[in-house]
Amino acid sequence: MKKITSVLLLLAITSLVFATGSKEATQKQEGGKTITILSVTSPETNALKVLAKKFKELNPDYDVVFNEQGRLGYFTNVTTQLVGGTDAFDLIQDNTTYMTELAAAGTLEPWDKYLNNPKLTDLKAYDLADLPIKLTYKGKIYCIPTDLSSQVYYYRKDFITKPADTWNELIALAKKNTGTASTKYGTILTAMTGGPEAPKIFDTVIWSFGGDVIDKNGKVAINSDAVKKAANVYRSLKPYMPEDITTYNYPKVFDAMKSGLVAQAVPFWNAAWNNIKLSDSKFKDKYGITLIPGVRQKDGSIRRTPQTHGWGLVMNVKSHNKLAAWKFLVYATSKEGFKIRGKHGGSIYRPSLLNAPENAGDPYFSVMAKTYSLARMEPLVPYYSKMHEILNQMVADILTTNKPIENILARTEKNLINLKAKYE
Amino acid sequence: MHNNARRKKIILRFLFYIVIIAVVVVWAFPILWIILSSLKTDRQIISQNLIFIFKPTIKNYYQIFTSHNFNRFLVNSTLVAVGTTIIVFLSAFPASYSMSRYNTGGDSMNLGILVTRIAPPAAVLMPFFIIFKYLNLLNTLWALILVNISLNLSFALLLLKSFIDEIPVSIEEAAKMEGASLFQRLVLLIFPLARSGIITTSIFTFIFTWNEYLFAMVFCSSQKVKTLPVAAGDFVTAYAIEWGPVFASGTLILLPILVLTFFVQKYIVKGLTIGAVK
Amino acid sequence: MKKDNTKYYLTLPAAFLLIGTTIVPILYMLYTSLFRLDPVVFNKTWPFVGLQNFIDLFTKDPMFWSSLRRTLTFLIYTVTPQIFVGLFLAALLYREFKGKRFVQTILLFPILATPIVVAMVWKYFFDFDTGFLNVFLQKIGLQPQPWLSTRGLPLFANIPFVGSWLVNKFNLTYAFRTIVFVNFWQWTPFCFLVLYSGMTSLPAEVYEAAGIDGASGWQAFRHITLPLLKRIIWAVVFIRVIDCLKVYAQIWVLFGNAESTRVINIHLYTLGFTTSEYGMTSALGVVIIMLISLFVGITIKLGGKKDA
Repeated sequence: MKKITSVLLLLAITSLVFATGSKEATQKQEGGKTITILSVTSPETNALKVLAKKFKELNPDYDVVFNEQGRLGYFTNVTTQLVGGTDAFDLIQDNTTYMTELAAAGTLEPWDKYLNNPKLTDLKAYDLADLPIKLTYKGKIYCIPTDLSSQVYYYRKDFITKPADTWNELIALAKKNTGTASTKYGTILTAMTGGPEAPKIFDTVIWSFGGDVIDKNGKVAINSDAVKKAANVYRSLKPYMPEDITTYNYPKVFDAMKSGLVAQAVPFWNAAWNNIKLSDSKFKDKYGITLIPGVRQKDGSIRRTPQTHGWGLVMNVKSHNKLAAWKFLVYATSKEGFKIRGKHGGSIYRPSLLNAPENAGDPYFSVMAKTYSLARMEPLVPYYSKMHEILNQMVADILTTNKPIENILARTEKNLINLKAKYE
Repeated sequence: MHNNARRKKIILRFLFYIVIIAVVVVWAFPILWIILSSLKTDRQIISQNLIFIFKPTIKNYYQIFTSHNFNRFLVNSTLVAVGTTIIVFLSAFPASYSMSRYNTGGDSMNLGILVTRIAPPAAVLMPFFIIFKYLNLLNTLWALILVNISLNLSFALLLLKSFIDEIPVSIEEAAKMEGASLFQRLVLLIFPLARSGIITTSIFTFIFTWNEYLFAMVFCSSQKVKTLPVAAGDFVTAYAIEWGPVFASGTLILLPILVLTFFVQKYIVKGLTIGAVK
Repeated sequence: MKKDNTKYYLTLPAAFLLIGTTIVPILYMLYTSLFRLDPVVFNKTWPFVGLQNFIDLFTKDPMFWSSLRRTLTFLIYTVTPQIFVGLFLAALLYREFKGKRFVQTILLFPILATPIVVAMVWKYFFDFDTGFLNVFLQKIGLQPQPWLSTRGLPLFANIPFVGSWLVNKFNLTYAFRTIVFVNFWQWTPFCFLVLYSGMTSLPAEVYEAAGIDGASGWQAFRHITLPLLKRIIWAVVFIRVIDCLKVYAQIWVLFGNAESTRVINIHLYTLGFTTSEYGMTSALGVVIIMLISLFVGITIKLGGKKDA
């Protein structure tokens, strides 16, 4: 009896503490002027910080506070924070591919009412038509990226004079440059299991063969000839890449470029161009940049389909400082904002700036203008991360086992169909 | 004959020291390498030569303390670890006394405590997040203290209990005869007698809290409450791993543990083994 | 009567903290395992699915059974050498010699070192081209090893006919060997420590008796020490098995959630953090707790019988 009483007593005390705790929760004032941002440590964030400084100069009564975090566990943290309903952050930096899920979860503030309010936004100066990528869900805009990542082709111009136009040419070049006096590996790409990169890079190859993971009608199309061909490209490249290729993510591929171990990195992210120029690598001026290879069509043209995704700031629906946050968002994605960030490590993707006369001579800008115009985004589905988990295993199977490709694709197809059935 | 035996003995002795040296190298080397590398430049770290002798630089330390606010993180980590240790001790000491002397809760209590030890952190992260949001504790050090209490209390209870078990009841009976109250007995008698147990428990709580990464990363992302392991993880940036600062912050984190293992070895050994031997 | 109350009052603070910080989250986990729960529905009404999460886990989850099997091989590969080397070290350090305390201190350190820091160092050590281990191997004239590759170990993979089957069934890959090694490095000292203190607590008379009988060192160890240590060896196995089920940072930092190294706890982290299926995560959490409890129950029962 005593036991039961004391347990009950404990429960009562527990709930009491919980109740008073919530009462103590002070309501923060609406419309504050301090904007708190959660962001990942990166050159893009450094560029945003420079921008924030400028922003504070222009608006002295505002303040911008950055909370930076490393790459380890960053996406976990973003999801937990937003889904758990934090109000500690007004703006959160995220990859566009994860935003659909967060928008569907109702954790993001749509931009439309701020965009369409002339008091808040000067739409004419902002020039929406000059921003080709907008992340929408159910007809509402949730993000206009600050940075757009896509894939390009890096090669050592000191011994590769003619970069490959097609995947077959790439395989031949990789073979020729493996284990030579100048480099160890013929080519390299990101295939790390567990991150988002492996499926994204593989998408690029699938699309160039006219295939798809999930087709336009929403059907799982992974078990197709096009995907088989893409898988064969991977298997053919395998002997010319590092053996532990499934542990290569951006930093490792980038390190391999820096230490001159690879002849080519393709398809690889455009961010590496600025990053390697800023590094202390011996080889930083040895790399050329061009469009990724593709598949030759009957009319002789080449279909290249670089996958693309954005990095951007989303507004927390629980934020208490939405108007201030909006002021910063508009500034960050305005033409001036792009110019400032572009000078400090951000990526410029507004066509008006890419094609501006002052950038005309720069190989990076011409390649990027072309790449962005060809680029495609992945399907924006709310079960995105779960789909990636399945595709990750598929890429790993293709690259690390000798299982017949038919079997791998059949297994992937089955898993994807199960997944879709669960979420639709 | 005599000579032969002596030679055999010398050879055995020689082999013995070879094995001992191998053991030391295998287990000490990675740690030593962290400390060495923290004094190197980036280029020396990823060099394809093994560099043992070099001109040490404190650039990495300078960087983490000036541009990354590590003095703040150091204070945070210390506050969380010390706070957790004190609270765990204050609550576990009387409770383990009660469990030891009156067998409060019995075997079911022991088993229950064991089960709470194996609860997978990944599965309880979200519940904690929601509770802390509700209590308005996110991005405060209290959140971390509470989580670490959860991670350490059951271990502390079992550890302290087994230490108090070893104190003979007869001593207490004598004190009782002389009219000492329960409180007096606890503070004046059991506390000094269980001292080594208390030190052991505190060291373990401190180290485990000091090392905690996952919850700290999610619950305290704000700069002003960040702890050291999370800050070390921050050098794995979106595009590169900054090895210099990684090693410098790693050394900083490992330092107190290194000091503890060298100076209070006795207690650590006791704490690690008592659970198993029991 | 009065005494009765006091003993509960003494446990009050601890019980309060335990309930608030441990029991409540676990109950919440049990509760959420009955719902289809992910970020999209989290702040709406949760669809109640009963035991569907468990059924999905057992029948539809492509990784559940394979990661469970892999966990079993991981346990066997890690715990066995740790016990043997631990015993060896304990016997080696049993005698007095100069620098013994220093060696013991060195061995204490891996157990307590911050997991995330150690994991990052291993990541640096195992890199194929610039990692310390391969640079070292090449310096002394050996072939570099693809530590992080998922290729089968040649020793097994080259066995005709059954090679690839062996590699697949028993995870005989470089990557798996690497995680086994990292675990070995971190936890062998623990096994050593416990076994060593077990040995030192054995009464000295038994050895004296053996010495009089003229038993060699090995014979004494085999016939006297080992049988007396049996209970402690089982206790070490027990603790190691539970800890192995909780292994996280070492594998996650080196391999992420790659299939070839995905043990059950890594699968749990994948569900919880990569794909954010909170309902499934809870269900798997419940399954893990039940498995460990079952294991604990069996060991206690077996141990109890042995003592009797």
